[in-house]
Amino acid sequence: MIIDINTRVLRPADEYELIESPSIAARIEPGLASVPTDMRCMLTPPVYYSLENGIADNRAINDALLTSAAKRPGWRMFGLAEPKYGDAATAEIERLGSLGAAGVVWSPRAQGIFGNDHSLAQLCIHADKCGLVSMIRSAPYSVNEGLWRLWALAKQCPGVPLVLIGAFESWENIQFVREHQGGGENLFYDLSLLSESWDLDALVGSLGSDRLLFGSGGLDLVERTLDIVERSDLAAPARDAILSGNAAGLLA
Amino acid sequence: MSAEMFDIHQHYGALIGVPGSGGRVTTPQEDCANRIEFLDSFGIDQAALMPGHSYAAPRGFADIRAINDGLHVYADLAPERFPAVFGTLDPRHGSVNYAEVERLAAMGFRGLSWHHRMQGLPMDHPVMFAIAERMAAGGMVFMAHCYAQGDFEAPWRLRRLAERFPAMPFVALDAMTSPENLDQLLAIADKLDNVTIDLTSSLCGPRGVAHAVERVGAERLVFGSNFYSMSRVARISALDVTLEAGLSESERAAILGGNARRVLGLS
Repeated sequence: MIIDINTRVLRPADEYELIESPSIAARIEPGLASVPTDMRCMLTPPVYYSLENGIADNRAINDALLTSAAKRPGWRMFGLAEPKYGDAATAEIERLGSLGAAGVVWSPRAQGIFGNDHSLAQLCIHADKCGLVSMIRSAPYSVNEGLWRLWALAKQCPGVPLVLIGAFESWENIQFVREHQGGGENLFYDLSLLSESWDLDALVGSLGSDRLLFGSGGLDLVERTLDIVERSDLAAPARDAILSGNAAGLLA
Repeated sequence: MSAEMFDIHQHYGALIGVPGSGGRVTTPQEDCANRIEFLDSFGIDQAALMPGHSYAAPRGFADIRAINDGLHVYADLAPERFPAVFGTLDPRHGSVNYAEVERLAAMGFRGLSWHHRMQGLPMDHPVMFAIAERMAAGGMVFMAHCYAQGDFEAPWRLRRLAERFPAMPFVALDAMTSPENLDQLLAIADKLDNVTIDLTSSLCGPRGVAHAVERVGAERLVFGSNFYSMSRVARISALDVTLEAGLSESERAAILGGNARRVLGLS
């Protein structure tokens, strides 16, 4: 069964209005109705949300995601915690681990922190110890989420797998990743926001298929991203690895 | 050097997450004594204060209120040296910010400041327009960091706000952090009279200052040190490049003090 490692639960345009965190819960289910039911989805949080109540807002979003994931067999969720919240973030990570979350998504750009910040590295390591996979948003052209910063982050977390999500939105990033065969061996990439199937073929040609994961970005993007994989020239083993095998290994 | 120097760019707080930035947090009294020692060592008469913008706020809006209140108390330790205080608001706290603008204006805050790449939303998010509308009504000054390649704090985002609120002064902080950044902001200042260019953290050298004076005039530039709490500063790049730019005495005096006082309504 296909595993979508990045099913973002809200459309970016909806998030941008800074939805109050308690009301996010009410918006998740209607959106998920459009997601195919014959795949395992890892629900991921919005990028933008209100932080008026600090860590309590983080908890409210995480609880909503946990509730939605629990309704569907095999589905899980990635939670969030503001890296700058220090001990409060650490405690939230531990809570997520105890509740069976799959991991944590970090958004350095929207969380106001540089992606290579030492404190973020410590949180990724802590999450790993709690059994949680860290995924980091990699918005092209963001000074906070530049690939060089996230690669530097990966160096600070040896042996800890980090999944960069959204990095392939720009052609420049794709070329950079290809040129360096994906960078550090603990780095993985999802396919969200990738535009063309030939770029996927080229990526597999440069770094292999072992570190690429099917992650759609959620909702309307699920079918679009699946279509890119379908239109690619990948052989069956590579296709299977990207669509499910790699994610299954990471989440085991 | 002029006895009337005014530093428009100082932070009360430490800079988190930037290697080599130094600084630390201590008591307000020790911090203030250290800051005044810094001012005196460079012949700076007065300074405007704003918070550090890479704060933690695990309690949300309550933490930001505490930062603003702390800054207000701090400035009162030496009001003759710190005649202008800027608060901040976290854009991600949304609509709860609007009443805080009015509270800060009533407390005497001269304006508000942001460093959006550290505060998680773009400068031109709808929340920022709603905040700016209230600032304009309160006669406040909008201080925005526009660090080169800053994404959320890109010059074009500042332009959107400055065009919408033409009567409100906007100070583009860190404008000279790359030649490209400076040229973008000069192009904006050339069109919008309410935009002032800050020379803090200059990476453009004396030629950059001379170029800016030629493009928009000396009266549109202000000096700042980027001093953070308890940091140790051997030299101030903005001061060096201003002194070495081949300016007239009146141009230098304007950039190093007169312009900031005029923009902040202190003269």
